[in-house]
Amino acid sequence: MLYKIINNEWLQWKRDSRMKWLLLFLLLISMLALWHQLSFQSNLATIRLNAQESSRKEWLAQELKHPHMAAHFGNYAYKKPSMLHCFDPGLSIYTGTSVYMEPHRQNDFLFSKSQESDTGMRFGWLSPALICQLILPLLIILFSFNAINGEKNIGTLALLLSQGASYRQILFAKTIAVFLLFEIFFTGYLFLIAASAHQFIYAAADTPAIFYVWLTYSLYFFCWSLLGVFVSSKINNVGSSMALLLLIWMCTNVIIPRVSANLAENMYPVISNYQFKKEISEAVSKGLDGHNSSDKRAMKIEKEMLAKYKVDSVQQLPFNFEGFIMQQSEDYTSKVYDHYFGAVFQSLKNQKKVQAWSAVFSPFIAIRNVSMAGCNASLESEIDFQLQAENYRRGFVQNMNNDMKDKSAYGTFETYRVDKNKYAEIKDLQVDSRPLAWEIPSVLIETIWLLVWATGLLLLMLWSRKKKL
Amino acid sequence: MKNNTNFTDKPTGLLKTQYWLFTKQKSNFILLLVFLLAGFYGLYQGYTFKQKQTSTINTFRSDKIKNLTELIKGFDADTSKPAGKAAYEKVSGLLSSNWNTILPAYKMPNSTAIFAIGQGDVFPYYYTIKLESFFMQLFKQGEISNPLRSLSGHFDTSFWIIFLLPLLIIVLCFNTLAAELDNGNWRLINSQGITAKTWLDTKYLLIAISIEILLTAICLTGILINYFHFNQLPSTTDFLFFIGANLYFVFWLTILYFINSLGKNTSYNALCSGMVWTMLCIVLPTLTTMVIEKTIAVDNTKISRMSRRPQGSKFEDTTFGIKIIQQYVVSRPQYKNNILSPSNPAFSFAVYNTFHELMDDSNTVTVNIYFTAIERRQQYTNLSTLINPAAALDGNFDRLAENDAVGNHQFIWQTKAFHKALHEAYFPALFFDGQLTKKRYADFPVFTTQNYSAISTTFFLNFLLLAAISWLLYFIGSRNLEKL
Repeated sequence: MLYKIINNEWLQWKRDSRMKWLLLFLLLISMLALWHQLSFQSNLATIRLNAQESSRKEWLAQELKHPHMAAHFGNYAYKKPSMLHCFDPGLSIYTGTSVYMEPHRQNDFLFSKSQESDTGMRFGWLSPALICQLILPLLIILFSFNAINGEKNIGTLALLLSQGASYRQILFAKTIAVFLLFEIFFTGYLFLIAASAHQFIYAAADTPAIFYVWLTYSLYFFCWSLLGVFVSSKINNVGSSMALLLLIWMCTNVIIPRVSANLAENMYPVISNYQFKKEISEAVSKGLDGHNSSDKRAMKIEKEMLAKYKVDSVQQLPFNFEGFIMQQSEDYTSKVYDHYFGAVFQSLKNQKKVQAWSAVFSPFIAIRNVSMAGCNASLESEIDFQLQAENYRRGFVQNMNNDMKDKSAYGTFETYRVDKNKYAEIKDLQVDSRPLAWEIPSVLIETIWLLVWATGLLLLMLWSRKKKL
Repeated sequence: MKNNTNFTDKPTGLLKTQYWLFTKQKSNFILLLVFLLAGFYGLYQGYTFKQKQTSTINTFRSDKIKNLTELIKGFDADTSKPAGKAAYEKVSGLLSSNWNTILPAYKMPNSTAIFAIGQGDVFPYYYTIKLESFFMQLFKQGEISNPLRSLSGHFDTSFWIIFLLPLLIIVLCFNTLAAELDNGNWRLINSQGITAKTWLDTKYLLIAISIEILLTAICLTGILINYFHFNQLPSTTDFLFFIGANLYFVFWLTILYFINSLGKNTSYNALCSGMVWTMLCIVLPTLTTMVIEKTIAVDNTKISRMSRRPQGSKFEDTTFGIKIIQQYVVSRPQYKNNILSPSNPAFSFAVYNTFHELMDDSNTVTVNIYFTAIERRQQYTNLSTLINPAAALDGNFDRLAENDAVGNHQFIWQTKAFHKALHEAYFPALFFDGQLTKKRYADFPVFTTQNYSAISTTFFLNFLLLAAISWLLYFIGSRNLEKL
């Protein structure tokens, strides 16, 4: 019986020209989104590869100079797109794309995509994820708003019941009919994206992530299918059920995400860059606790070294004390940066937590965050990239300082030059992509809410059956 | 409650009837109240954002001015004492002065910024300015981004107008005629001599008045906050914002008027209104942005590497140094007769600084191309009213608030001019005096934000097109209703 109802539902849609137009619209806009993302990401990959290569050439072509001065010439790190960025670029378009890495300071990530776009981007960035998160639920609504009340109004519901179908069977058959239609589309679409991304941006296939994205989106579409059929079973007037569903969609997908983001920021504000830099500068010069100034630190280290090596002056030390103190200063500065950047990251993580909890009112927030995590474009991945870049910076500066410490003599800052192979020794930053298992814990709350939404709606539908029959 | 109005006493009588029908439903009041509160919440977000920017700028500016004042005090220091001597050398020495002179440049939010945050959160609004290469400094400085907020967008007054007011209009008007047709009341109303056009005209007039009250309340509150809290008088841009908002809600009223004029049922109207909202507020803006980005390419590869500090042994080469200074004085003839000799202690520093300035001159072209491409993207959006009215108006709102890329670039060019003014005050010391004097410091520029006039033909064109579409929809709608 279930199969017959589903088949009948599909047959009706097949005969309805409006439905065909809607599906054609979906197909068209989905392909546009895919083409746009593929072209954008492949272009991005080429640009960043070229930028990284020319930066590398500049680094290698610099003349032989003092290692610390060479370190000051600096290096660049450019973010490279991953395969599933073609599906969901997530936060990657709102964060900086490159960073300049030099001694003594951790620079900001600059040149975000949003700085180079028009204000139209505030309305959304056309990507397959936007289609699946925003447009697909809307189409599910259009296919399901009259699923039950429509049958009631024309009297065919009674006919169906009289043929032996239970009310619950009808509800679930209608839900499955609409869900399957979009699930088939989504499955094909996702595989097309993965295959195209593999072909055009030469990104490695991440099968577990693809499966995870498929599973969570399926759950999301199931929620909307349940909601559409449930509302249509509760409201007799077709117009009212349509209006209510549209209102729910607008609230959950447009209004609540903004309200929650603003609320989160009001609760956990991010410090201004000026205040941030000021505090760092003070902590570097006066000490993290305000009692350990840079002069005191240097004197203390000098005393310790002289005592350790049992010598009277720094010139007698078995290494260049200038290089040693330079690295000590770097280590201290790094400690300060860790402290203050940690606070900024914590604010952002807290904001994300507030948004995650607001997914109780909006499955859109849940799927958005889960999708970003699955596609390696979440807050955690962005922070991780920044941390990897920062670790690279520290390693690279330390390498240059160690050259100064171990190979040059005290007081030869003006005359010492690095070995000609030194520059080639410093490799470019290789960003490690995190596996899915690393990302999942960060979206645990959202995944739970998505399950709660699905289970809740399922239970509501069961309850609805008991009330009706 | 009883309505004593004579139905045939048109249109005032009918307007009273519509008012009576409207007030009969308590849910309408709740809806209006909720929307008003949402409007105030949007205004509060705008206020919070503006307040954060203003207080950051004030602290930043006062800190930098205080530091400079402290530095200048070195001229009055007792040079017989080591501390006094050090302070004097710090302020008068060319190198130390260069190192310690850090001037503030900032973009104070204008009055309309309280209504439209726009891209204000993605662009820096203050820069520290030193003597060295402007672009080298510029492309190292940015505000700490909050990608989570950028992803969701702001709930500001602009959002309230662009996204939420249409929703209110849809909820209040989507079935004005269809409801009467569906429940069979229309025959009764029509038998009183009321035409569908009069019925809709009066209902829409009533809704327009209600929305006008909400909009005026929000805009007036914003203006009062600007006046009392930020000491800003109402400006032309505020007025234009208000006019734009009015045109936009009238545009949406005419859309709903048109949909109702088709004489279809409630279900059709709901579907149609929802689809139009989705198309205008989500699909068309994203599609337009996509097309614009495809049309105008932007590449930051060259720009992104301008942070690298030029260095190398060439700076120790006197022939190279003389060549650089000679190249420099071609465009700055005031120093033509005073080319420093390599034996001058200021020589190497002059080479360093002039090299930076020449580098800026050549980089200006590259940066300008980069900025122009981004600005063209914005301009296309702002002019896309015919196919993309919501995003076009939103772009124009952000333009009025100077919270778009154009506003940021204008601020950058203003800062560059400020950097140049600093050079003009400092370079005479470098070329002529060999050290800094108190008078030279007095010549150092002080940054003041210039709010550029945002009133452009683009804006008026946007208004005009919005009004034209509204008129066309109303006209066609009226004709449809006459046939009904």
